[in-house]
Amino acid sequence: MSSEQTVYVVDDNADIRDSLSLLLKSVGLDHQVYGSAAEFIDKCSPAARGCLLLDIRMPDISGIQLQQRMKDAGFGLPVIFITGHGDVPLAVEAMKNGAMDFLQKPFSDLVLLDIIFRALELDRQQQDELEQKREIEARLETLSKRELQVMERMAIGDMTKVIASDLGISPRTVEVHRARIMDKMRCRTLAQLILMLTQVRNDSFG
Amino acid sequence: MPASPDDAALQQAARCKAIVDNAVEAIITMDENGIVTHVNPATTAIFGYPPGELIGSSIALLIPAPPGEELEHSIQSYLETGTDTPVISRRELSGRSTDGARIAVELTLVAIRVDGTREFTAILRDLSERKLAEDLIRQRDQQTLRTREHLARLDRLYISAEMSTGIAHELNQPLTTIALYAQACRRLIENGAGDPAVELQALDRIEKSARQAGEIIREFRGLVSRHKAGHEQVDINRLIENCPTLIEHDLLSRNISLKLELAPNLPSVHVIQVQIQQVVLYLLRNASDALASETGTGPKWIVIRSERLSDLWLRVAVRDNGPGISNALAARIFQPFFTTKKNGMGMGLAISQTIIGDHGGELRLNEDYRAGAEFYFTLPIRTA
Repeated sequence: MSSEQTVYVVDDNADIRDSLSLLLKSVGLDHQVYGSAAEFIDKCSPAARGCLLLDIRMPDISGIQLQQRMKDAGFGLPVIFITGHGDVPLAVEAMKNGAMDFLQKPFSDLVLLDIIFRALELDRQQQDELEQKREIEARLETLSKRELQVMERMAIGDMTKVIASDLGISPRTVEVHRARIMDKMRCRTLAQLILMLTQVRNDSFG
Repeated sequence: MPASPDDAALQQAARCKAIVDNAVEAIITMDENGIVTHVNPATTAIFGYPPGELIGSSIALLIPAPPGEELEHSIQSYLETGTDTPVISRRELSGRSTDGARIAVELTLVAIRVDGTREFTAILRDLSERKLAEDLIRQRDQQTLRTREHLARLDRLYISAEMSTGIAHELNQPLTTIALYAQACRRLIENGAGDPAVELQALDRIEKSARQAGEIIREFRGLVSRHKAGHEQVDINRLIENCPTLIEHDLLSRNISLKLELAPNLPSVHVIQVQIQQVVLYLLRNASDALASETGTGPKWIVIRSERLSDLWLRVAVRDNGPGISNALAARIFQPFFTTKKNGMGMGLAISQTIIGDHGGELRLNEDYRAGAEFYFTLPIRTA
């Protein structure tokens, strides 16, 4: 678990909040509790890391509604729903909307902690991927306009001679650009470069 | 030219013969010993004997003993007293046809004097068709009663299922709290990181939650125990206020807000509390289901309103801002087993209407309300 991860809890029932809080404390997990969805939205940023334990039934803004708002606002936190008796249809809806899992009250601490640790692991992976993506994007920023043009053509498999004639430059110049691109992107093979581009461009490649 | 007395007598005789021959009843003439002297066609039609077999035989052939005996006894008693009134008037008894089958008949026996001798005319009406119809009606009544009892039983099951869902939902909160505190305490103690002050506080909370669970059960028991009562004086507003407890979590999860607009100082009504509660619940549930089927994102609400219509009537209305009920549907929704719901039995409104009817009121759809649906019922204001 990375040190900046926090377990967020949103539940309108104070007893549940306090008891969850003590349990999380007993296993040494950083946590924050909120009594309403509005309070959570107010105090938490989309950059928050960790996971969210979310009561599915709450007055005003329900758990499902908060999940939707978080999605819209770009929150990346894995969401674990806390559901009551007979909430299965709601839980199904929540899962369809991308919830990581759900817990039915009353639940055992072992199950709860297992889900929390899995959520934190998922969050860490997401975080790593995000950092990698940012790193790749930062490297792409350092490429010149000409280098970007060459890279696009490399990525779709064009040979140096084809790229040279396309761009109206000499094959020798293309070779120089290629070397510089590989250097700036810190990769040794074309395959690595394509992988990096796939990571940052899920839309166009995925 | 006036008819001669003979002509008039002939005409009269012809008229009588036409009546007798075409009567639906068996008309049998017999002498004072009960020996048949004349039968009309209906006699053959009902009893199956040809006229030749009956004439000269005792009436006991058609109406066997013991009724036959009684008949002879009646004739005897007539002879002794000499009264002119019908000897027997519309008595139901059992006759016998040529194939030995019993036929329900209604007998009227009259005495006539012809040329100084006494004759008797028996008029026998075949009751078997009427009997059949009566039996059918009785059977149907019993069936209706059984269906109604069956529905009422199903309904009690439904209510208890609903209650158990409500109880389970309410109890989950304190149970979860208790479990979490206990688990946290155990971990703290196991890790040696325990702080007695923290643990004591957790134990206090556990105790509080357990007490809370007990109160929830008591509260629901209070709702259930009233279900056994018969008619009683009931504050309709209190009754309405108690209903939402049972479907509160449904409304919450469907994001439906419920508002009560209860007129103050309403007189009490003399009702079977559980039944009226059931009606309010049905209407609430119907409204909730209707709203749940709405895909729009606007606010969803239900209003329960109580008011005094006059010195004699109270009115309770349940209104929602759902899709409403089309005219075509409105004509059918009160029919038993008509439903638009996937899992519905279609008996809710029919039963509710019966219940309100039994209480002297009316349950109706307010067809003037078009921004959703409004059902209302009236109850008479009267004391026991």
